[in-house]
Amino acid sequence: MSDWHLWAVALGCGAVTMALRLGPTLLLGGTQLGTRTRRLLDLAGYGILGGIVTLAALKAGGGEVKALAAVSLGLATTIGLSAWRGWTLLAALTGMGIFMLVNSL
Amino acid sequence: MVVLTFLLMFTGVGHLSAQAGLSAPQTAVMTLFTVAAPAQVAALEMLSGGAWLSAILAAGIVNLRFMVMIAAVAARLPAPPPTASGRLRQSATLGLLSASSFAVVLTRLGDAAITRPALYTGLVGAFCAAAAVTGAVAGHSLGTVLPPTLSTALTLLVPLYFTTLILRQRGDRPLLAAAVLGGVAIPLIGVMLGNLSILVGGLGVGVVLLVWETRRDKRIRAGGA
Repeated sequence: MSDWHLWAVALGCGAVTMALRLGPTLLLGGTQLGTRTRRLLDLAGYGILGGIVTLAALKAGGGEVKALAAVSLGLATTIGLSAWRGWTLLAALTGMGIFMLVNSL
Repeated sequence: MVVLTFLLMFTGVGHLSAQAGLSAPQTAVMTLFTVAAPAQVAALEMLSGGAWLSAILAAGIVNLRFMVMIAAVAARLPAPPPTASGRLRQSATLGLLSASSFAVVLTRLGDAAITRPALYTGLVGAFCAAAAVTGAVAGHSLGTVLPPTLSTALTLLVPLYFTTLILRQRGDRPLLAAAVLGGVAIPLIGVMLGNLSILVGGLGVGVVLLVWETRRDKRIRAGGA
């Protein structure tokens, strides 16, 4: 494949992504969104966030029963520590440790 | 933490990029403006098969989710002045946001501690993008530098960290419900819709919960009257 094609892919992927990021907000300009629209976007944003978490966790599980059990235990530990102690990074690192421990058994 | 994870995660993207035939500068340019590992991996896999136009299209389809993500973050920022410089500032603020920086920014913007939300958003995006470019170029030169076990554990560390960020919003029950519903619905819808499931599922969850909230508020008002 020629160098021209490779540059087209490198720049094309970037340009398409930037257009998707900035297009809608630039088109809206400084227009203030209504309360209901802002709330819809907030709820959709958190819905997407939940989806990203599950998809990434399933990817780490890789479809194997033991790995999925390890992911579930790691996730449960993280949620428990975060809800109980209010930890963020420490809870995530502990959850990751549990995942690695169960996965290595 | 997210910056460090980005640095390591994008070494894999850089390695794939080298295998697909991209040079280090091409890898850096692609990563800087895309900052999305799933989209880049999809594009590089297409490129390896020789389909360069399909590679760009694949990146676009995977990144459609950014439209809703950016709109959600923009709705939490002060409205820019309706001038060219205002639009330029807004572009600089939102232009480099990725899925990970979106997660950090969306959850932190609710905190009163963030006094300059636009600057904070721009800096988080810029730091993550810089880490992604550094990681991708390193991966391009060195190959995959992480052992597979650590690589898998790091894949899990990011969603675990995001979970703790979601839980910080547990005072707002509908937001928490949105995250849980999205977590269940998006992988299920993904069986049929593939990468579009993040966009469609997120919007679907938002609409359902907004309708529920509106009806609940009406019932409360009717009960109080």
